[in-house]
Amino acid sequence: MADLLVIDDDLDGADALAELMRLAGHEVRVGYDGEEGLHLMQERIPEVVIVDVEMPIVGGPAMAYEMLLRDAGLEAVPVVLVSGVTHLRDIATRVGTPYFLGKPYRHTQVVELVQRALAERIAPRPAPGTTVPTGPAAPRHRP
Amino acid sequence: MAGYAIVIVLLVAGVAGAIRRLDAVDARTEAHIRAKEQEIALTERLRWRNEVVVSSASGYLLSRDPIFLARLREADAAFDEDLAALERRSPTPIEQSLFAEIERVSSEYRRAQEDLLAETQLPVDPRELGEHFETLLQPRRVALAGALDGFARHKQEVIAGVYAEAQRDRRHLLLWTQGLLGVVMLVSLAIAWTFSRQLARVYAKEQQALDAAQKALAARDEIMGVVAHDLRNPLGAITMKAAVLRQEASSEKTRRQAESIENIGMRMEYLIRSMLDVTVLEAGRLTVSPAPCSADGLLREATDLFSGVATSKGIQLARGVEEPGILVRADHDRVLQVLSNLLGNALKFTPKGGRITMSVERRNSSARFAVSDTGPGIARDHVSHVFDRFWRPKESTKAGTGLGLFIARGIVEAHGGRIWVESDPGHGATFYFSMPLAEAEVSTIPLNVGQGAPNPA
Repeated sequence: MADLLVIDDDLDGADALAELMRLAGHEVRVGYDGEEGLHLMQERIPEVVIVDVEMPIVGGPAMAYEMLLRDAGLEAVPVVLVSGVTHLRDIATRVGTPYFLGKPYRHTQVVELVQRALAERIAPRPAPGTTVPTGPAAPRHRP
Repeated sequence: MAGYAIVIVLLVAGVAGAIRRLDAVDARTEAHIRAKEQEIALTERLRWRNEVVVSSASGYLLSRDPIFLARLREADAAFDEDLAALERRSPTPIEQSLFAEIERVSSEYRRAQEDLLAETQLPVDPRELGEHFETLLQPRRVALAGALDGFARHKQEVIAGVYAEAQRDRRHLLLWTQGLLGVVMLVSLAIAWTFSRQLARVYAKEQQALDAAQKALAARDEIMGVVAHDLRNPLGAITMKAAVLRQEASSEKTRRQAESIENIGMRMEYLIRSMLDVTVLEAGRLTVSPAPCSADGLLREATDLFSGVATSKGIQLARGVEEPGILVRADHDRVLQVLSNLLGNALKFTPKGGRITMSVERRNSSARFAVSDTGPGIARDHVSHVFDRFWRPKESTKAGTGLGLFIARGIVEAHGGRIWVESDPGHGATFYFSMPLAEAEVSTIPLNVGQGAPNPA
C-alpha cells in the first residue's frame, strides 16, 4: 500500500492505469496535465509519480525538472516514465530516472516496475550539463 | 517520329546530290577546256611548222644545198601530220569549215612552193628566184596564218562559252544547294521546337505526378501521426481496463473474456507500432542512437520476455553464450526489438517439444547474433524474400503482417549491420545479424541506465 500519483493527458489511459494500481493495492490520485500534477504533488507528496512524456503545457521531463527546482521534498520522489515515444531510453537518461516503460506494455510490467521504484526509491538526477527538454508538448513552460 | 527522320534524310540527300553535281560540272568543264586548249596549241604548232617550211625552202632556193631540201621535206611531213591531227579534232560544222579553209590555203601554198622548187631545175638567176619566192609565197603565208588564227579564235570563243556555261551551272547549283540547306535548317528547327514542346508537356505531367505523390506521402505521414497518438492511447486504455476487469472478474468465464480482450488489444498495439516503424523506415527517417551495451544483457532481456510463452508452448529456450562480455555499439531498445521479432517468429513456427537457441559471438570487427530454431525451416526459394515488406509465404497458415522482418532489416542496416537467414528445410532455420563492436570505448560506459522492462516487438 503506497501513495501514488498518475499523470497522463489521456483521460481513459490515466484512469485505467490508476485502476490497475488500486487493484495492486495502492492509493492513487490522478492528474491530467503537468501543472495539475505539480499542484497535486504540492498538496501531498506521493511516494512514486507515474508520468506520461508527451503532455500539453508541461510534459513529463519538464515536470521532473520542475520537481527538482521546487525542492521541498519533491526532488526525492522517484519518477516512472510511461510513453509510446521512440527513444524513451534517451529521454529517461536525460531525466536521470532508471524507471521507464514503453507502450505497449502488459499490466504486470507496470505493476512490477512501480514495485521496484517503491523498493529502491531512486530519485531522478539529470546528468550534469544535460538540459532537460521541455518537449514539443510543453511550449508554455513557466519556471 | 519516323516521318521527321525521313524528311531530314531526304533533304540531306538532296544537298549531297547538289554538291556532287557541282563537282561533276567542274570536272566536265575542266576536261572540255583542256581539249580546246590542246587544239589551240595544235594550231600554234602548225604555224610554227609552216615557219620551218618557209625558212627551209628559202634557204634551199638561195643556197641550193640539198640539206635544206631534206629539211623542207621533213617539215612538210610534220605539217601534214599535225594537219591530220587537227582534222580529227574538228567535229563541229563550224570547225570543219574553218579546217577546210586551213587545208585549202595550205595546199595552195604547197602548190606554189612545189612550182618554185621545180623552177630551181631551170637556169634561173637565184636573186630573181628569191624575189619570186617573196611575191609568190608571202601572201599565201599570210593567208595560212590568217586561217590558223581564225581557227584558234574560234576555239577561244568555244572555251569562253564553256566557261560561261559552267559559271551559270555553278550559280544555279549553288542557289539550289543553299535553298535546300535553308529548308533543312528550318525543318530541323521546327522538329526541335515540336519535340521540346512535347518534352515540356511530359515533364510537366511527371512533375504533377511527383507533387501528387509527395502530397500523398505527406498525408500518409500525417495520418500515421494521428494513428500514433489518437488511436494508441484509447487502445492502451482498453487493454488496461481489460486487465482490471480480468483481475476483478467474479467468474472464470468473464476472466477469460477479459484476458482475450487484453490480448487482442496488445496485438493491435504492436500492429500500430509496426505500421509506424514501416512509415519511418520508408521515409528514410529511421534513426538509431547507438551506445555501448552488453550483448549478453540483450540476449538475457529477450529471453526473459519470452520465457513465459516458451514454457507454455513446451519449447526449450536456451542461451548459448560462449564468449561473455561482448560489447556492441547499438540502440538498446531497437536491437531488443529485432531479437524479439526473431524470437517471436521462432516461437510461432517451432512445434511443441522443439528448441530455440540464441547466441552471440565475435566475428572480425563485429558481433554476430544468431537465433536458431527446430521448426520446419524456410524453403530455398523463400530465403531471399523473407525480409521483403509485406512478404508472407502463400501457403502460410500463421498470422502475421509480413512487416516484422522488414523492420528488423531496417533497424540492423541503420546500425551498419547485416541480417540474413540460413535454413535447412525440414530441420529449422537460423537467423543471423551483425552489430558493430564497441570495445574501443570500454572504459566509460554508462551501462543500462535502468532495467525498465523494454518493449517486446
